[in-house]
Amino acid sequence: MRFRTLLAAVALLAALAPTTQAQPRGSVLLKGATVLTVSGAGTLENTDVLVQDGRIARIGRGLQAPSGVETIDVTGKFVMPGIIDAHSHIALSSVNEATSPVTSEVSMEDVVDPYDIGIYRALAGGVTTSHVMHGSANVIGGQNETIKHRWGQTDPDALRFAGAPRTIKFALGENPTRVHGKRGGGSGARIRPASRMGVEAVLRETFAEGKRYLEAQDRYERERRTNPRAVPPEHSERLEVIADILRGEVLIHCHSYRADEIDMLMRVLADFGVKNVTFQHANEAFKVAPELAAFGASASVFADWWSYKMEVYYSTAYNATILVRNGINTSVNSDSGELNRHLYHEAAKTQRYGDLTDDEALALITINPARQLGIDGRTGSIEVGKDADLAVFDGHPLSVYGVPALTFVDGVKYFDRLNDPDDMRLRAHPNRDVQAGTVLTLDDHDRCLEGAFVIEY
Amino acid sequence: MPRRLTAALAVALLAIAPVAKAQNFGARAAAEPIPTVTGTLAITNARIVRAPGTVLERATVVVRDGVITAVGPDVAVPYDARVIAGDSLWVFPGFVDAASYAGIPEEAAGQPQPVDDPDNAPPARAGFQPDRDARTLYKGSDASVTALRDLGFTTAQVFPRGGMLPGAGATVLLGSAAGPVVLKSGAAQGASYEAARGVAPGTPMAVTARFRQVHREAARRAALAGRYAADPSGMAPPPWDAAHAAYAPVAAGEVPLYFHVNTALETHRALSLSAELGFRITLTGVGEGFELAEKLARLKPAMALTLALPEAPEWAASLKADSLEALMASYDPAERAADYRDQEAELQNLRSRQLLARKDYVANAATLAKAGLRFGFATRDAKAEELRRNVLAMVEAGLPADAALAALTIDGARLLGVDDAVGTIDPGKLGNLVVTDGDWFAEETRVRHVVVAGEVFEPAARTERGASRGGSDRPSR
Amino acid sequence: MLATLLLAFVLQVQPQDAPKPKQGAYAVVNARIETVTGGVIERGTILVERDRIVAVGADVTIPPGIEIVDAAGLHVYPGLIDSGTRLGLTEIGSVDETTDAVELGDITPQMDALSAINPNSALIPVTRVAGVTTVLAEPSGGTLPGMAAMINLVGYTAEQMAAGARVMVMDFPTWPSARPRFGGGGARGGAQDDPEKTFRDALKRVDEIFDRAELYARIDSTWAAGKGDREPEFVPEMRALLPVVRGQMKLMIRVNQEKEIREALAWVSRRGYRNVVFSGLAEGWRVAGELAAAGFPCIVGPVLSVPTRESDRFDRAYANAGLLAQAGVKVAIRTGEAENVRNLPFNAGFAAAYGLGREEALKAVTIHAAEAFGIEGDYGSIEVGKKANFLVSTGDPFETATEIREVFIDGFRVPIDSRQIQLYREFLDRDEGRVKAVEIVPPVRN
Repeated sequence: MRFRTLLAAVALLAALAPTTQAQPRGSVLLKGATVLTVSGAGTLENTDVLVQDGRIARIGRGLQAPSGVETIDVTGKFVMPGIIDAHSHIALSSVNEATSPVTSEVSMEDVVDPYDIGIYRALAGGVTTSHVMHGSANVIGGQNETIKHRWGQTDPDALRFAGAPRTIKFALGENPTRVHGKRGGGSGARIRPASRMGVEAVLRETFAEGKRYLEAQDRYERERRTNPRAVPPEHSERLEVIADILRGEVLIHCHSYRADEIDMLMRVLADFGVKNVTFQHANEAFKVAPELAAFGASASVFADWWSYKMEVYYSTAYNATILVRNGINTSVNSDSGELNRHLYHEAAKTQRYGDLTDDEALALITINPARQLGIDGRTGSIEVGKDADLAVFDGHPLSVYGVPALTFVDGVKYFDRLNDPDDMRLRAHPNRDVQAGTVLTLDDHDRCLEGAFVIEY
Repeated sequence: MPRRLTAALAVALLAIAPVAKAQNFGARAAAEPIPTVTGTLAITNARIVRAPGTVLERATVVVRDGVITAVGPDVAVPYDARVIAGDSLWVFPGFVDAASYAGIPEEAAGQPQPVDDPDNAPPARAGFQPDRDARTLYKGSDASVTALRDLGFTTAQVFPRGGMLPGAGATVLLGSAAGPVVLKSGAAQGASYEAARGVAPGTPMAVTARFRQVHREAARRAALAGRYAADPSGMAPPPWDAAHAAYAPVAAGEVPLYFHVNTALETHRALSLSAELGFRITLTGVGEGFELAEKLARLKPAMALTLALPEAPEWAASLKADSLEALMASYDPAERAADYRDQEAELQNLRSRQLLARKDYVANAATLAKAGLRFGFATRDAKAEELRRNVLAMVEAGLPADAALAALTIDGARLLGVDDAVGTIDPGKLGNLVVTDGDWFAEETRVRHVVVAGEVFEPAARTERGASRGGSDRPSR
Repeated sequence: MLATLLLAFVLQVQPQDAPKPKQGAYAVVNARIETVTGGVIERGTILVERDRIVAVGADVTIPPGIEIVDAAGLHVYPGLIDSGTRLGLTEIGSVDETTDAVELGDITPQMDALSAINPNSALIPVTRVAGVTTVLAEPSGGTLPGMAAMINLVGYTAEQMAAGARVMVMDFPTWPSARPRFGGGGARGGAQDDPEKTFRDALKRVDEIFDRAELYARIDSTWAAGKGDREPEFVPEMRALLPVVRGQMKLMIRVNQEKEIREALAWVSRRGYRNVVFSGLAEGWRVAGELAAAGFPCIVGPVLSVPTRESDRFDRAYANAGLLAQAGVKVAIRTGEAENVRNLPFNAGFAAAYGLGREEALKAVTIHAAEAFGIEGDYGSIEVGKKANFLVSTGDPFETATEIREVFIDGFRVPIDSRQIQLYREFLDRDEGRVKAVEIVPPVRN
C-alpha cells in the first residue's frame, strides 16, 4: 500500500500538478467583528482578522491591510471558524456499493462531484469542509473523502483536503442486516449478516483475513531480499485497505445506533489493536458514555433525529450534552443536503437539550469534528497559521435569527448572501425543463442507503 | 378460434397470397446481386479531396483489387475498369469511425437473474470480459453497418458492448462481407465506467476499484507466468484465467484502454486512473471535453469525440433562429428575482442559459480543436440519422471544415494506427471513397456512392432529415 | 436547565407518583404575556378554569385557593399550532406496523385520521414540551387520502384530543418529471412519454370524482327533502365528500410546484369551491400574486428544506413564507413532521429571519393557523373564553436557548417531561457500574 500511495503520488505530481497548485488561496482583511475563535482565546470583541495567501496571518485590533488586500467591514457581525460537517453525502456520484457486506476497496475520492449544487448550499450555511462518506449498506463500506468547498473548481482533485488522513465507513445494526441478510442487496441474494451477531462475525473474520494478508505481504517483503524467486501473494484491493486499518493508517467512522453494538465494535477493535474510532449517529452512545470515554472513542451525532427506525426509538436529543459532559469528543453532523445548511442551528439545539455553553456548542461543528477527521492542525478554529476557512454571520450563529453572510475557504470568498446571483449552478442542463423541480420530503434527505436496493425482484 | 372466423381468415389469406408472393419475388430480385465482372474501378474527371486541404480538380482515381493504384489529373483509365463518370462529383477519402458498435448486435436486456454471490457474479454479468473480441461478434449483415456506410463510413473500430471491460476492439472494413475484414486487432481494449446491475461492480466507484484490482493482479500473474515459463523449478504454476490474461497487455502498457467517457467527471476520473495505474489511454466520447479543455490540452490524450449531441429543449422548438440568438445574448449571470413579479424575467434568463449550455456541447469539437488537439470521431452513442446533421452543426459552431474532415478521415486513421492503409486518397491505400454530388459539408449535398476497398455501394435513397438550418436544434420528441 | 429539571422533578413528582397533566384552576402571574391578538401585557395574569382562559390582564383579581404559577421574568405565548404533521399516526417511521397514515386505495375520503390517533404515542410528550400544543394530523397516499384532524397534544382518547377542525385532504395531481438524456449514452432514461397528458388525465379524473360527488349531493338532498323516489345508493366515499361539496367541510389541497399551484387555483375557481385551504406550496412564492388574489389561507413548510430547483436561490424555502406574506397571503406554517414536530418553533424562526419577521412568524404558528382551520374562536391567541393553550418560557420560543418552563393544553398543566428527558436524567451521570476500559492489546489476537 505504501508503494501504491507513492506511485499514485508520483503520477499525480507528474500529470496533475498544475491542478493541485491551482487550488485558489485568497487574502482579505475582516475588520471589526465579534470573533468566535473556538480556541483558548475565546470570544474577541471588535477584532480584525487578516488573511494572507489562504492562511490566518494575524488576529487583533487596528490591523492594516497590506497593499492589494481587500478590506471588508464586518462591524456588528460575527466571525466563526468555517463549519465542518463530519457526515455528509453531498458532492458524490454514488454513495453505496451494496453488493457485498465488505467493500473497503471502493473510495469516495473516486466519485467526488464538484458540480453538485449541494456544495454551494452548504457554503451558504457557513460549511467549508465536508467529510463525504460511503453509505451505510455494508458492515465495512468504502473509504471516505474529506473535501473543501471550493465551489467553481470542476476538477474533482481540486476539492481535496490535502493531507487529511484516510478514513473508512463502517456500519452496524439495521442497515447492513436489512440490505444483505434480510432483504438481499442489489442482487436479491440473501447473505450474511442478517443479525447483529452476523455483523460482529463479518468484522472479526474480515480483520482476521486482513491480518493474514498483511503478514503474507510482510513475509514476502522479507523473503524477496534473499530469494529472487519469492512469490508475491495474490493482490487484493479490499484486504490492502483492511491491512491499512490494522496498521492504524485509516480512521474508522462507524454508522451505529444502539449502545450494545457500539460496545461490541470497541471490543472487536481492542482485540485487533485498533484505537481510532468515531461513532457516527450513535443515538444511544449516551448509554455507554463511560465506556466510550475509557476507550477514547469519539461520537458524531444528530442534534435531534430519532424514531425514524426501531434502533433510534429509545434515543434522546440530550445525547450530545451527555457525551460532552462525559468528556467525549463530540460533533454534530448532518448526513443530509438539507440539514448541513444549518448546522449552526443544530449545534444550538444543545442549549435547549442540555446546557452547553456557546463555546461548547460551537465546538461541536468546528474543532471537534476537525479532530475526528484529523485536520484540527489546519482548521476548526480561528488561530494564526490555520487555513482561513471562515464563516461570517449577521447575528450570533447560535441564534435562530443568525444568518450566514459570507463564507471563505482558504481565504477565498465563495458565498456572499447580498451579492450572489440566484442561479449559482456551475453549468446548466442542455435540455431539461428549466421549470422542473423536485419536492423533497423529509425522508428523502437521507442518502445513507441510497443505491442500496438497486433492482427489485 | 371460432370456426367461422378461421374460415374467414383463410379466405382472406387466399385472396392476398398471390400478391404477397409477387412482391416477395420482386424484392428478392432487387436484392440479388448481378455478377461482378471486374475488380477495377475508375472514377473520372471528379473533384478529388485527397486529404483535408489537398484538392485535385478534374482528376481520376483508380482502384484495383481493393487498392488505389493511381490518382491525379492525368491518370489513364485501365481497359478493365468499371468507370464512374465523376463530372460534377466530389470524391473524399472513406470515413473512419474510431469507436463504433456497427455490426455488434445489441444483446437482449431482459430481467437480470438473481445470483448467489453478488460480489462474484459471472463475468458477463459483472461486465468483466476483456477476453471477448469484437471480431467474433461482428456481423456484416447488421443494419447498423449499412446505415453507417451509407453516410460515407468505410472503416470502423468496433467494440463489444456492455460493462467496464467489454472486450477487445477490432478495426474492420464496412463492406459486404458477412464476417469481419480486419485491418487491425489486438490493439485496443474497450473500457468504461458502466456499472453492473445489482452485482459488483455496481457503482462507478466500484468500477474504479475493480480496475485497480484487475490491473495489479493481472500484472502480478503476468510476471509470475513469465518467470514460470523461463524456469518452472521450485514454483507452483501461476493462476490463470482468460480475463486477466487478456488484460495483461494493458497492464504491461502494450495495449491502450479505449476508455469511453460520457461526462466531464468521467473524463477527469479516467485520466487520473490512467496516471495512477500507468495504463495507456485513448478517450472516446468526451462529449463534455469543453469543461476541461485546458487540462486536455496539457495532457494531450488520444481522443475519439462522440458525434452525439444533446437534443434541443422542447420549449425552443417554436422559436426562430434569430429569437434564439437574441435570447442567448440577453443572458444575465447576475440575475436575482426579488419576488413573484420577476418570474418571467427569471424564466427567460434560465432559458437563455440553457441555450448557451447546449451551445457548449455543439461547440465541443471546435473548442478542443482550438486548444490544439487532434482527434477522431466516434459514432457509438449516436443514431445514424443524426450523424451528418451533428457534424455540420459542429462546423457551424466553429470547427474548421478541414479539421472535421481530418477527424473523419486521416486523424481517425492515425488514432487507430491504420493511416498507412486508409484515411487519404493515395496510391497503395485501400480504395475507400465517398462520392458525393457536392461538398460533403454543404447541406444539400447527397452521397452518391460509397466505395469500400473497391466495392461500390449506392446509399439507399432515404430522406435525410438532417442538415436543414439548425437541424440539430430539432426538439426532442 | 438541568438544575431546573431536576428541581421540577423533585418538587412535582413523588417516587410513586408519575408526572401527569392536571386540569383545574390556575393563575399564571407576573408574566409578560404576548396575546398575539391583543398586544403585550407586561406583568400580567392569566386565570385558567378547567379548559378555558377566564381572565387575562394586568389587574386580574386572583380568587382564593387557586394554584398559582409564578412566572416572574418569564414570557407567555399562545400554544404553537403546527398546520401539517403525521403526529399520532406514526410511531417509528420504518416499522410498518406502527404507521397508520396511509390506507389502501386512491379515493378514500371516508378515512378519518382521528380514529387512528394514538394518545399514548411517545412522540407526543416530546413534542408538547417545546410549546407545540396543537397539530393537524394528516393522512396521506392517493388522491383523497382521508380527513385530517386537528388535535390537542393532551388527552386519553381521540375525542378528548380533538381540537375542533376536521378537513378533507386532497393531493393535487402532479406533473411527472421527465428527465431527457444528457449527452450520449444511448437510449437510457425515458421516464414518461408525455407528462402533460399524464397530468391532464389525472386532473380529469379528479373532476370526475367531484362531478359525481356533486351529483350524489343533489340526489341526497332531493331524497332528504322527501322528493326522491328511492333512497340514494350507499357510497361511503361520496357520503364522506358530501360536506365538502356542500361547502361545510374545508378542502385542504396539498400542492407544491408552480404549474400545479396555478392549475389548482384554476380548478378551485372553475368548481366554485370557497371553503378551501392550500398546503405545501414549496413554490408558492412564485404564484404569490395569484394566491393573494384568491384569498385562501396558505400553509407552507417545512421551512427548513432545500429549494425545489437547482437554479433557485439557496434560501427560497426559508424565504417562501415571507415572500407570500409580502404579497398579501395569510400564511401558516407546517413541519410535515412526526417525531420532530418539536422543530415547529425553529421553522417559524427561520421564516422570521428570512423575511417573514418575528411578529408574522408568531402569527403563522398561532392565530393564522387557527383561522386557516376555522378554530380561531377557541385557539390561536390568549383571550378570555379561548382554550387554555399556552406556554411559559424564559424568552422567545423560537430561540433554541430558550427554556420552555410550563405548557398548558386544554387547561391541563402538562409536566415538562418526556422519555427523552427521562433518559437524560438517567444517563447524564450514569453509575459507571463495572466500567472496564477495553484493553487494547497489540499484537493482534485471533
